Amino acid sequence: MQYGIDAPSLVFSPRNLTETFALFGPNPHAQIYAGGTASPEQNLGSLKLPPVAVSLHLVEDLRRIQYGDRFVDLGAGLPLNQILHVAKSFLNPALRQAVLGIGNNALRNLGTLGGNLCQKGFLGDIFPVLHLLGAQFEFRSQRTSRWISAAQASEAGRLTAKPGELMTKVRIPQEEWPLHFYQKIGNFRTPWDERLAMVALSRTKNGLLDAFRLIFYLPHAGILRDRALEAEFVGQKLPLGAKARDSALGHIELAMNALALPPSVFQRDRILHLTRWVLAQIQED
Amino acid sequence: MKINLILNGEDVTLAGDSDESLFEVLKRETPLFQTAVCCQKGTCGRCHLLLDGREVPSCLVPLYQARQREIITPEGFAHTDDHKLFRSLLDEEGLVFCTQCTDAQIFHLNAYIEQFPNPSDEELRAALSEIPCRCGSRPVLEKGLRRLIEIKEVGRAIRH
Repeated sequence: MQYGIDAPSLVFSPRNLTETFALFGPNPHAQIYAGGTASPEQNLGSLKLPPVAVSLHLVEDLRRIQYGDRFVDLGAGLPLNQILHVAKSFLNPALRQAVLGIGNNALRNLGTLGGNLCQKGFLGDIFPVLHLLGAQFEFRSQRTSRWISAAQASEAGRLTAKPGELMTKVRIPQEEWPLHFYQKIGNFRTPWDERLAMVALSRTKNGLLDAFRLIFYLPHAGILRDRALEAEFVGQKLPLGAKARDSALGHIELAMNALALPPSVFQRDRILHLTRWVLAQIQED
Repeated sequence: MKINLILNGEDVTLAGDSDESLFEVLKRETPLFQTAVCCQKGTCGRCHLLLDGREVPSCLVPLYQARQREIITPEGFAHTDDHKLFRSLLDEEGLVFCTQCTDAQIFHLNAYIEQFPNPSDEELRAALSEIPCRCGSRPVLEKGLRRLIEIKEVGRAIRH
């Protein structure tokens, strides 16, 4: 453990999780410093480290990839580019696209999975894909461990660790989704009300829609996902009829109206357009 | 604080504050990056370097994270065989050198294919667009990069 880099910030660099949690005891207000890429607009001129920081760059425990029978566990400290090296059978192409849509190669080598998910005030670009894939997030402290689902996180509007806690793992179930769609509009330079991400996954069987999932992510308003719509589409015969498409658009309109912060005119227009586009793609496949 | 690291193959000691970026310290303490004007957001490519073989924006790396690690800057990379090979391929394709982006592009693209040796067409185009360019050299860079990937593939096949 390296102590005592004392001016102007106090930075601790633990080498494993045990040391990390031990550091939180005497330093309850210490802030986690992972990749350091999350808020580049705040970094202009200097890095502005917090007064007391726990830097995770040496913690190998957080960079592990573990393969289970039906899931893959990704360490929360895994650099974003390392996610692209996860075995193809475990890495949904939509997740790959979401990762590739973040920054550039250099930023993805620095930025971490946990850092992207636990940004202040919003959920990050990878979250909507993980939500659709049914991912779970492990938070650990020195004595406790808890898992929270993506659905719980989206209700809360963010993934937040309690004092002394750290996100350590993301568990992604393995499930085949032959049809996958990912579309991101805007980047960190774009105004909030012009940013949007859409993810859709679907599976067909014997000419029927076997499973369908659709999600929109609006950074200022949160997650837009209508499970009633998804349930209604299961078992529908392909190609989908005009009635089914109109019903989907109706569901999405209602879901948009139910958001706490309404989408902008631009976002509303894009959401309806992308819904129509995804349904058309499913028809073709 | 003082840290020891390997910079372009030489053992060096750098001094600075813990919240200073590696870019600022390298610019102040060494002859490197003297003419580089960086966006400080990790997107322009002018401050990128290899930290333990991985391309990172040095403007976002705190000094303390470089302790005991190996750094290769574009200046150091310019003396390697990889650079000479890529540059000669680009010259053959007719690259007109641009003072704003060529060095950053060569460094970035070489680091990218070292990390992802078999990119798809879509990924290759995305990698080419990651460094801002106003000189219009992307088509030439793409041709040169495709030839470099082929040469490296043959090299790997021979080694195996």
